[in-house]
Amino acid sequence: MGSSCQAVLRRASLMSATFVSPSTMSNALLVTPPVPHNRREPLQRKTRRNWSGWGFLAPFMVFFLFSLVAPVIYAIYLSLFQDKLIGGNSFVGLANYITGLEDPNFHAAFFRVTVFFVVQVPIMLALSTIAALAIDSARLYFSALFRIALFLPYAVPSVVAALMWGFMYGTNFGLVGNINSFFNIKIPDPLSGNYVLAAMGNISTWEFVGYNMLILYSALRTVPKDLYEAAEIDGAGNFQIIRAIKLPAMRSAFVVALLFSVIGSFQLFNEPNVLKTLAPNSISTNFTPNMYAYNLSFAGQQFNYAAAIAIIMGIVTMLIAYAVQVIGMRRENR
Amino acid sequence: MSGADRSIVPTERRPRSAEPSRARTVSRARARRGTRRPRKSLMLTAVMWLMLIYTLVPLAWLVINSTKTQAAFLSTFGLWFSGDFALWDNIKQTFTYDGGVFGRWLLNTLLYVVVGAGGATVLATLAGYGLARFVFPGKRAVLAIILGAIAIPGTALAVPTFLMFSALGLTNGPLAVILPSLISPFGLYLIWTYATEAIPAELLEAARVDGAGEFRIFRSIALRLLMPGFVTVLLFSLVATWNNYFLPLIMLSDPRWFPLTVGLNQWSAQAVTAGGHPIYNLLVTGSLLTIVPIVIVFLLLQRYWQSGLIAGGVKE
Amino acid sequence: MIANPRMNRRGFAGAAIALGGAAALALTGCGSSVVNGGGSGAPSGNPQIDIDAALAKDTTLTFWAWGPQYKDVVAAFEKAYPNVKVNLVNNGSNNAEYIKLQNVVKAGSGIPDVAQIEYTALPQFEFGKSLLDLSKYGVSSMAAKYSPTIWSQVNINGGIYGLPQDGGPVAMFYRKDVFDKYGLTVPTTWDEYFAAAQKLHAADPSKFIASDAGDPSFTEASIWQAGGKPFTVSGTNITVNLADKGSTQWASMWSKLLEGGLIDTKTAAWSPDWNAGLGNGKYATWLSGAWAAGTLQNRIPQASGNWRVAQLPQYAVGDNAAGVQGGSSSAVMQASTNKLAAIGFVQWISTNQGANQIWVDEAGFPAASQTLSSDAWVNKPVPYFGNQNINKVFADTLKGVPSGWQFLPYEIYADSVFNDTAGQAWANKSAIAPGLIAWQKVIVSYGNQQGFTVK
Repeated sequence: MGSSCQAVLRRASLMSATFVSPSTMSNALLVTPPVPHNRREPLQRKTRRNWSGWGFLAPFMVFFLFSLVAPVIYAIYLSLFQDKLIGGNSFVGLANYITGLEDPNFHAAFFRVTVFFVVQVPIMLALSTIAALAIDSARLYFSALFRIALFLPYAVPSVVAALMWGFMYGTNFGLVGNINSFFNIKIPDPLSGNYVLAAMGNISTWEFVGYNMLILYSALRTVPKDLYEAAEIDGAGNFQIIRAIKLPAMRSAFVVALLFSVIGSFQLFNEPNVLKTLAPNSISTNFTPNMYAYNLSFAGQQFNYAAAIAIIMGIVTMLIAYAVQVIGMRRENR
Repeated sequence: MSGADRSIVPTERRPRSAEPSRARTVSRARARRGTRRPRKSLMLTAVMWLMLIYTLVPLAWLVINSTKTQAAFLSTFGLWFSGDFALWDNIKQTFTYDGGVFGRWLLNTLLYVVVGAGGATVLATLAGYGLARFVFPGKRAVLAIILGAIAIPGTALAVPTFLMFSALGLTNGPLAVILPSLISPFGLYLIWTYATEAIPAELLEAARVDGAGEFRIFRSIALRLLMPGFVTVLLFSLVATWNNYFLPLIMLSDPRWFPLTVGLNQWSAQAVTAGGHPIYNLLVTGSLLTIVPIVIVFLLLQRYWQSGLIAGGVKE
Repeated sequence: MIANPRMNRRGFAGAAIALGGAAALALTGCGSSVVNGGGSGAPSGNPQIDIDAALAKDTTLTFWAWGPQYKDVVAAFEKAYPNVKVNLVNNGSNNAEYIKLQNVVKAGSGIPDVAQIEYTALPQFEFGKSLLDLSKYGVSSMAAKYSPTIWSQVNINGGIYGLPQDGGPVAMFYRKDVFDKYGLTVPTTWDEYFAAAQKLHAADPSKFIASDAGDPSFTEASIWQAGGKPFTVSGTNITVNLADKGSTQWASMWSKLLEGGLIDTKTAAWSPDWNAGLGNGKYATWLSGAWAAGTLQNRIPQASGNWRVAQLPQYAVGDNAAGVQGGSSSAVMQASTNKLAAIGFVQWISTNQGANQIWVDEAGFPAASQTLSSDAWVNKPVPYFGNQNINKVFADTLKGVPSGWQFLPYEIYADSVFNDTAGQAWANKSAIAPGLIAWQKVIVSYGNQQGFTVK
């Protein structure tokens, strides 16, 4: 559920951007019920106050509680114990959390995904913004082609994407090797210690630039044409239009895209996991917090500690996501 | 049943009736834009072409290398064809390797996708509608719980989920993959926001006054209005479940139940082992075959968005 | 029987069995269960009869294994015992399979009847009590059917936890064409090996004497050859000393090669690049377990005729020492509901002559002593290796394996963190000894944290 949940999360955010104003979407994320924008509706718009709403919600909630809430509760429960190879299970309270917060391996992993987030996300979102603006500007030949083609990598399962790029990064017979021998240069090995994070950043960018582009582009499409007409009448130049009309229109969608990129960066797992077999010394077992939790569980059989790490990461992610939203919304209301 | 329906004449089939005038505005603006700005920018196109090449190169790599035999794969230039065209042979081998397990994986994936994505969409639609159009006790709590549960990294939930499911004897079968994929939290949000905007309360009130039951109302009125949202969530759930990887990886230990993504991972891991038999050409071809259906769905989806953008209308 | 066994090893094997018997007596508290005992609960006192009876009944067994030879061996078994159906499931290789196995054991469902488990991981599963002790079923009497070295690897704490299927005494595979081209002589000592490495790399900087990106099983096998015994396990007391004489000797020797840039540390083993390197002569040697002969024949057919096998270089002229790298046994899981049939299956695939023939024909390395000493196998010329009698080299190598080696009861975890710690020495092309110490630290802290007493 985890990574597919992430995926659905991203996809649905796109949908919301298409059908709903981005500010409504962001409001929804702040756990406020959306306000319909149909001005013909009176303010008091809800209907019966009874239990029949539950009838519709119940099937979803049943599966939700079973597949998502129960494991979380179980994870919290697990994190309070320690099951040793010798000595068995024992209650340790918050000891796992304290160990986790002091664990240098965890710090290193956390630092790494933070660096990843700080570098990769702005680059990717900048590219998406440029692409969205370019396609919206109607100054491109074949703009539909760009829209479709840029979005294609999203259809590729991340496992396949990592495998493909892994092959291409090969310095012997991979594409990098081919380029090296053809141009007689020496591109550094993308999978070596210094560059491997950038190599993964490249894969993530490749996967999601089209997706983010489409979120931003959909927001751009909601700008009423009269605004453009008014701007032209006022004699505004291209860049002024972009700055005054388009960028503000994209702001909410941008916050949404940023939000999901943040969450995705902190949960980075598929790419390092797949590439580890090709670069065992560059990618450690604690390369990202998720990988750390995974290896703790499976190689080390330390399920309890892994659960504690996961909960810590969950809380941190929630806090950062909330912060991003608040900052984003504040900017919008300025 | 139908009598009650006929008595309700929806004042508008579409959420916004602004479409005709909007279309006029658009075409007028376009015409005006066209006369004012005839130039398409070559420079911009060039920049975008770079991005396009960046996007398509790995996919081209995949297609080209599916046509190579394993020996050619390891020795020829990555971005051009080798002498032999082995695509059909590779495809045949992919489907017959190891007793035809790839075909089995394909069928598994179809099963997971149809039941999982279909079920997820239905559940999300019902729930979204419920959240949008009813006021009931505990609603805010529900929202908080849903949001909270999403933020916890899925990778770490995998093990508790696995332990839970095995206690119930659910691992190692299709249910292990399908049950978790029935939850689509943002499908829920989407339908919820869409229902809020697209279904006028008066319509529902009128139906209720006429004595129609809630579920009947949902089925005959609301569902039709929600249809664009429904189809969208369906299509995206399809893609998500098709690409589902991590949880099935943990849950399943019987390769006969693997979806394509996990199966490909096994073929890849197989190459990296002492006794293993590397099958790079099958891995590449298998990856291509995994992507093709989804790309087709995407291309179909494109057309849907186009109409969705125009018809769905929206927002200030 | 192996020709000319060393006195001390036969003595050791005998002592091990006697010790095992005594230990089993103490553990089970039951007088006759060791050799002829009827631990199966059936009325007959001889478990072998019960096993044979079980094989005649309709049963289905699930067998997790990844080796390519198993498919045909299993098919042959099913022909011999038509009532028993075996589901051969490939759940990944070594660590990938072990992780899944641990998961299903912990979950309590989905456990196979039989699993392919390498000797390195056997202690871990034995410690977790998830394997069936075969000695209770009269299997100890099968000791004579296997090479003593290999038999000692399934003998843990006095019980027998798997039947050996293959072995991995380490030998040196080398490229005759590369050696000829650069005028290198086949090294018999490590000093000569180092000299050859220098000469090769100086003549052609794109070539290396070997590829090694840091691998725990190779490291352990190398320390083993040098006579090191870094892990001492007795009950829950573990001593870890990766700086003992053997470890230091190997570490300083191998570090010279690393620091001199004579080894390719950038290419991950088993990757396409690595494959290509073995095929095109980029790597002049490959130091690996005997099963590598099968790997070369399967994976690198294009280099047929260019590879040869020789004894591993030694520390002193005239020595004959080698470690063991890899090699698998077939273990019966404690949770199996078809124990007797499973034991019969495992016995058959590891000792039946027909099964052994299939195994060897498909380039597997045999563990059964009848094959290891058979003239047909030892003196069989192998075309891939230029018609060299490679098996003779392996047979000789097997005799030189130092005894007393132990693996950790959490070897899987230790191996998983090797690259994080010791592996950095390879990444930085620096001295290995500090890397080993770093690895040791993690091993010790994990062990203590898990409740062992580790120093």
